[in-house]
Amino acid sequence: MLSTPEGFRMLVNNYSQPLYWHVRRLVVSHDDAQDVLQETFLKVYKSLSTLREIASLKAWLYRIATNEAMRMLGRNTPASCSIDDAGADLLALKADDYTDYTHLEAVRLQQAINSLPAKQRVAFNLRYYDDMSYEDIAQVTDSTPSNVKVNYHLAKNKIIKYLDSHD
Amino acid sequence: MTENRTHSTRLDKIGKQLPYSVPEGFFEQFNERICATVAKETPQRKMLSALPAWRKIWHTTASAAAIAALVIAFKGLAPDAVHAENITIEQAFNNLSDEDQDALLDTYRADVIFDY
Repeated sequence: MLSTPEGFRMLVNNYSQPLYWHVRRLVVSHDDAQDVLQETFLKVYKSLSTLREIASLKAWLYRIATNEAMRMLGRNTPASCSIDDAGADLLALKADDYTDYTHLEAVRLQQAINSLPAKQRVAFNLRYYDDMSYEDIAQVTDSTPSNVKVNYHLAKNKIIKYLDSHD
Repeated sequence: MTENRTHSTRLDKIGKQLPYSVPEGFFEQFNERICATVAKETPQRKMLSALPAWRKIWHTTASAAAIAALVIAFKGLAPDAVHAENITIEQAFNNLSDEDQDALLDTYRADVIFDY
């Protein structure tokens, strides 16, 4: 049972890394990602005892993590901006101890992804980095598989254009 | 078609590498910390769940009996009391809110009279 201490520990051991990296790709900063991950697992723990049937445990966990990441981004965004508008400026890769600028292409790809609207960013990340199915992404983002597919392909095309224009 | 292949090649070259890293030992420490945090938040539930089934039933029944006795006594003192119909101990306990049930279980769990 996941709601037991042993079950919860198993959940944490299996999902802390993939969830961390999903969150980190969205919020960029390690400190923010750590805070979001903690909030995510606390919410997961509180929800486990009342959890009934879910189609996909993974999608459910990613949904909580994504919502917490969006909440963090909302807190870091000026009131006059939406998360989508803040885009590359807000999520500019700031130099910190845990960002490596030697991988230029990898840096540019993250900048390209961060310039996307939130829904396209999430859809692209989950498909590209987490190999998630369109159906699971739809559960994470409260959307439909066909909308997710559209968002993913729009995102991919924009990323390519961004990379080409920043060569 | 050619454009799609070029796009795929471009992303394929970059792959999934990220320009991010984490402090050494971060995940091991995080996992321990979060498990310790949730363990602190619910110690009494954990202890109760560790009891064998018959002890849980005994605690529940004893708590409900005490509540039923209080309810009956209170209704006896009330001037215009309408005597409650016979209710079982389980019904009396189940009629309580979740918070009251938890509070009773917590109180009687450590009761010397029931603990043997």
